[in-house]
Amino acid sequence: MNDDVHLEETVDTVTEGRTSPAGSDPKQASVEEAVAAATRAFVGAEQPPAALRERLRRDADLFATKQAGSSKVVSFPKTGGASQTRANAWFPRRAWGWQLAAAAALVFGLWNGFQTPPTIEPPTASALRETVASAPDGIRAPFVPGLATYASLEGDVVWSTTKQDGFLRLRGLPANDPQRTQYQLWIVDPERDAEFPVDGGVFDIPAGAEEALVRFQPRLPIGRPVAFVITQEIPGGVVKSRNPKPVAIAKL
Amino acid sequence: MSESVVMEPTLPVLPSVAAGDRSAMESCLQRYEGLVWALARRMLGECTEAEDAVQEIFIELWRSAARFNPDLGSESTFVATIARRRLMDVLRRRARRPALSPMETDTQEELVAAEEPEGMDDQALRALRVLRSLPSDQQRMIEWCLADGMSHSDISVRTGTPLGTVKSVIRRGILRIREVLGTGRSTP
Repeated sequence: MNDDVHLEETVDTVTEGRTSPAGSDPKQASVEEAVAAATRAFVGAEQPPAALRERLRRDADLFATKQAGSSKVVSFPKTGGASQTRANAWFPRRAWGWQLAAAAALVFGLWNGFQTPPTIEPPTASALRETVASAPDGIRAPFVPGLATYASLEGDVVWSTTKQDGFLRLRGLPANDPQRTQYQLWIVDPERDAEFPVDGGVFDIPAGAEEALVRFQPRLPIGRPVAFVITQEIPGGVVKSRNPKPVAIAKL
Repeated sequence: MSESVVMEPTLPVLPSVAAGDRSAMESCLQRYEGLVWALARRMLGECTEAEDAVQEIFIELWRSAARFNPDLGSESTFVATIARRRLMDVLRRRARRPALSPMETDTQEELVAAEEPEGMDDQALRALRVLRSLPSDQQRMIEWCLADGMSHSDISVRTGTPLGTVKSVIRRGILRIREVLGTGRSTP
């Protein structure tokens, strides 16, 4: 009897959308199965508007970029981001540059008679890069093109082992079509495996980007990196690169 | 009466989505965007709010993909459950009631007349058969609840039926579908 009552209560809460996910509760899961089947029977399927379909795919690109590989990678294209360019030009290249800017914004807001709440901007990509570069164990290495195709490539990598955080700064790297290929970063760390580099994640270079800052935070701990290698791979990246011709290499 | 049956794909796509597989996300969209949009449009109307909700649903789906357990239910159930829950949250949050007028007279006719639902998966088709076997007023109550996001009490007010009766009708219908799907056999 109690089971019946519980089952009926489960139907009530599931049909009114007031349940948390079933987790490991098979009874709730079975009711959800019935509710979902009936819902699909009622509503069928309709093609979403084209604009929505595009937005969903952009969301997917963004989500996949964040999830793909084994690290978090965020790309900050310089071109087209006016605030980014201004920040690069204005902020002193120190770790506490953004904090000073935030403090200045706060003081300005107070001086302005509280007419508008002060806006404290988050640290820019450049400022974050500087915190890595200026870390006690921060290292920097220039990239060298791996192929003539990328002869115009310039840039460097900064990395801090204690922070397990790094940035690529890249100029002259051709834009990629994320549906066809993506750039992938590899970190050669003899302390882990000299033969198989660690996957640093995938990233994209948007069309028209003059300079891109790409942050990488490998999920696997890096002990003693000796080189950073960029390859071009299939969308989403690969577990082990079979590409013998790297796009660029930065040796320490 | 002939009915076309499309079996649910045997390989779920969500585990690959959870692993960050970009092509799996495209497959996920192709497989489920029609369902999620149809449900959002039905519950919220064709509006910006519905489009925003669809985006939020897919982001939640991708974030939750690792929780999908094929032993507990089908992938389309996982998607529909997340979508429906999220859309009902929107309805509750905005204290908005779904549009009711078109369904009142058309529902029974639609269910009876739709002899060959194209592309409907096996579970949905079996659910449809159960629903078609119910009296029209009961069908309508279940449809308002599941597809339009109406609460039991709203249905009670709208139809002038006691709340307890509304709950009983919905419970019986859902438990009958559960029985037909066989999903309740292994549970006590």
